[in-house]
Amino acid sequence: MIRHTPLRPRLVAPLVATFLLVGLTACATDTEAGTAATAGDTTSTDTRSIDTAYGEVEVPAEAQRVVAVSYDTPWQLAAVGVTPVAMQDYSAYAESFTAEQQELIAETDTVGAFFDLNVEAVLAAEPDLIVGDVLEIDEATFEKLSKIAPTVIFEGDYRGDWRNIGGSIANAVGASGEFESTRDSYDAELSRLQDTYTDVLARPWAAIGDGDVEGGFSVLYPGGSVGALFFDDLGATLAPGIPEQEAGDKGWMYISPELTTTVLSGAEIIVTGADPAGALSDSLAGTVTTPLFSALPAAVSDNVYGVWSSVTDYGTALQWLETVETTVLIPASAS
Amino acid sequence: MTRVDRVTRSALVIRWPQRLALPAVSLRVDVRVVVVCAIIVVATLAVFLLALSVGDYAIPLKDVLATLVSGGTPRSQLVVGEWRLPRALLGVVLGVALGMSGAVFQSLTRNPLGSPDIIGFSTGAYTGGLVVILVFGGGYLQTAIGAVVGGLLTAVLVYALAYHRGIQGFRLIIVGIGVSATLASINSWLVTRANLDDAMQAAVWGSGSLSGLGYEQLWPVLALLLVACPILLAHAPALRQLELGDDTAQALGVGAERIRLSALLWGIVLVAIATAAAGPIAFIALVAPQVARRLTGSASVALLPSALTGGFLLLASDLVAQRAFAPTQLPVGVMTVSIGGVYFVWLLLREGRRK
Amino acid sequence: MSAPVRDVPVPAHVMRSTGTRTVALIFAFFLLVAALIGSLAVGARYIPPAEVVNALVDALRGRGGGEVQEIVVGLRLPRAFVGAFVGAALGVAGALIQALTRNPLADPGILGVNAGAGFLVTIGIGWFGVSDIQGYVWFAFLGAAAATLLVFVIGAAGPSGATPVRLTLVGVALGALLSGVSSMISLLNPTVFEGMRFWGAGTLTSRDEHVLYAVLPFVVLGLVLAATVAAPLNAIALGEDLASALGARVLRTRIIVIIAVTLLAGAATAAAGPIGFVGLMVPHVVRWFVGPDQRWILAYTAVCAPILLLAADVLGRVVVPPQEMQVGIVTAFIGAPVLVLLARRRKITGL
Repeated sequence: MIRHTPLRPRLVAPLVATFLLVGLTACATDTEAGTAATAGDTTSTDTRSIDTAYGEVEVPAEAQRVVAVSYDTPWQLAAVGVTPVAMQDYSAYAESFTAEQQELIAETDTVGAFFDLNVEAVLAAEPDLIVGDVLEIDEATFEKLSKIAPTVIFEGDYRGDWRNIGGSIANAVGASGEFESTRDSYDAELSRLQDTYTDVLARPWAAIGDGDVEGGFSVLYPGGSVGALFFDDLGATLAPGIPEQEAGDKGWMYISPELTTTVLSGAEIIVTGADPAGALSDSLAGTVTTPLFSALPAAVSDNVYGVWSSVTDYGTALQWLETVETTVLIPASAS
Repeated sequence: MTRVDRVTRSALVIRWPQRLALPAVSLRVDVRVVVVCAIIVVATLAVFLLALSVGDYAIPLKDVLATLVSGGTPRSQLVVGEWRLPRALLGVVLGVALGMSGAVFQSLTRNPLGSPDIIGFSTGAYTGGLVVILVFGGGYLQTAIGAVVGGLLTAVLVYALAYHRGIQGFRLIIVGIGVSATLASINSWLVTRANLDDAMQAAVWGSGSLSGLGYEQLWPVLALLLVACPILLAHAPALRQLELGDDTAQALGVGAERIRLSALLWGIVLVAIATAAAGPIAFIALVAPQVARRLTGSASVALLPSALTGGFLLLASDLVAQRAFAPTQLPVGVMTVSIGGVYFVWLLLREGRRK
Repeated sequence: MSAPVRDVPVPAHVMRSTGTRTVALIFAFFLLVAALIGSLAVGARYIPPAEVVNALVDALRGRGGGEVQEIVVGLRLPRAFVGAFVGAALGVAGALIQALTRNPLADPGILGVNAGAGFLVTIGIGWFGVSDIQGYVWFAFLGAAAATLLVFVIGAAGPSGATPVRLTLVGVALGALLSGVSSMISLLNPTVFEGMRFWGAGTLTSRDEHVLYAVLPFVVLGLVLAATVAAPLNAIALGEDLASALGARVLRTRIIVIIAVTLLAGAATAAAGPIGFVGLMVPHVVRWFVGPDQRWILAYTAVCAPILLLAADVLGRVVVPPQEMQVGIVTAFIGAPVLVLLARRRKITGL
């Protein structure tokens, strides 16, 4: 039996609500309609051919408006002197970036977030070159972006391979010279540190990061994004007692707080992640004050150091070397 | 000559006389259902046009219409024709698929909770997709395949576990909730073991997202929809009778198990294709039939209004998801749960007050 | 002459006499103690019971420190007690809900408790910058309590009152709504996402005595309320009219049950995060052995549910060394198949 429930109130209220909601959010747009300039016009007709992960692409010899569409790309561009006109939205993570990076974040337009590219915003930025890496930009997205402007997407030997990708990007914007000179500086500085601090580096080290429970932590392995810096580049010795890495080489593994002593007592020097100001994350700050951690040999001898290690290019890599020397190597050689 | 008679205040009968060897057809149509469907279609159209004209690259409505009709500038062709149009169409089409699928499931289980989300299909699809994203590092196509395989395996598992001399609606739901919860805990486990970045990517996909979808995703969905909908709509009268209970249905001469199986199969196909295209979008399949039922005032689940409601809900949710925090875009699935949930709670409240 | 009235045959597995039940309850209590000791001994690092006892004794005498004592007394002891109380709270909450709604397959999670707690925790992390369990506790408790009350209030406002179907519908709707909004906040704010990623799985790790003291009063109060309402619940099981005729005050009982459930489920979720299935499984198994008397059901549930939770916690500590699997994940792994098995039985142990 059909109930004769009044139709109008049931429909009116939700429909009005829906239209209000939709209308309000639609009116939240504050960009103007696109101007007459189309992406096809280039002021200069000089182009170069660049080899990318998705084939050869013709790029302007001197790009004026570069848009970065992947996570590390803006810093890789900035390291060779190119300021992007638009990049991803990092405002939510702002504290984990250095002061210069934060300035760039604050003043640049955004085109969406990690893995959530807003193609219309890219168009609205009127680029003449779009730069990114394969992790976030698959072939279908590449095709889309190519219709806006020449798009160069690069691939490294492994995920987050900033050395190779940074080099390819520098080449694409015509700044290979600057890239190579920064790289040479890095290598030179690295050798200097290795020679000067051989003893310190020969002592057993452990690198830890955030854990998945309070009081817990993760151990960072050689080959991982941070572990590679300490153990492969710098050449620190890995402490005994750190369990074997499980298959898959993520580069890190969670450890239960109960195993703090078992895993970390073999390390004389412990480095943890930190923000550019040197402050530990809340989770790590809690971990290093637990009774078990405080009883470790490294903690007792005051050899636990927080180091900012978000390296994305040779420029930040040089800064990292400086930080490591002042924060870790000098104090450690004194103890 | 086609005749339309008004037999009662609320029902019309359309008689289509015999012509050219086609049998005569007599359709009884409820006026209220027609009115509701018409209103929903108009509302959907309005939101559709709105979706085509707003965005980070604003295009005035008249330019949109010009582009649709006669071509427009290359830029508006790119933005409207290649980016926004397929996405809006997908919003409607996926919503229709989910709404109809939900209606079928709720009718078969005779329970308002009997939707693919609840009985574990969506969670299974999420698990399949997660395994592909986090363990194999796969791309769009692999994730879609993983999602469908995960969902189908879960559906089969739930059906097999719930089967005891036939399927009883309540038991199916309980088994579904149980299997769903196990899979949800597997999902939690997988997510906690991944990098933060991977976990966020998986979370975005797992909420169901229309971002970046285009014509390649639209055509298969549309094609399947054009096949499945007529079949299911043809089943509609039989499904209504089955809701009265198996004995009544058997007595009325409806091949109960056969129809049930066919409807279930097509219902699963619809939700599988939607999940493969956009990831598991929650709640449309659950809420759209309930909303449609209350709007049309019908005692049982109504397939066509549910489908249309689903289309409207998904399209509107996607638009809000895109614009509410611009230029950051939210996945549509997060919006469907919130908006759908709000309306559902509101309806339940209203139902309460009319004691 | 009419045929003699036959007793309904009692299945063989139900204990019949008060004596048997009391003895079995004491036995269960000893099992609980064993589970507590086990949870002190077993973990990512196995510590033999002898050393466990030494560590406890040393701590009582205020003597010494050392790694073993820190692990046993500092990490595992508070965790074990929190686990025991959380288990008891969840179990009794589940038994109460099942008795009140006469739905044998109800669980606090279904009624939106977890979603409510999760929602307020995201608000806490996102707006108030809360970052550790001491902070989460209050937000989670408030959220869980508010959600439970809301579900009962909206559910009871229906045309035929708080029927199981309506309560479940409202629970699902509210739960989905709150979890949807929580997802939205998490996806917009990575700090919230990271925090929720781990709290959301339900864990007992690093639950220290501060958490225990924070939730203990609520759990104890809830258990006491549950004890007072056990007898009237027996009457209500016969049907509300009959219950009223027998002198049980139906409305008052309902209100007390709702308050008790709110306190228990809220405190448990606040302390450990969302843990499901304990409130569902344990009352069922208990009913299987003890029969339909609510007083015995509640008493046994209060003792057996902690055993289950502690066992799940220990299991989580040993299956994937050197990491730990959160207890909420383990209970789902165990509980879901049990739920499915229960649903398949022709005669679900009715109330």
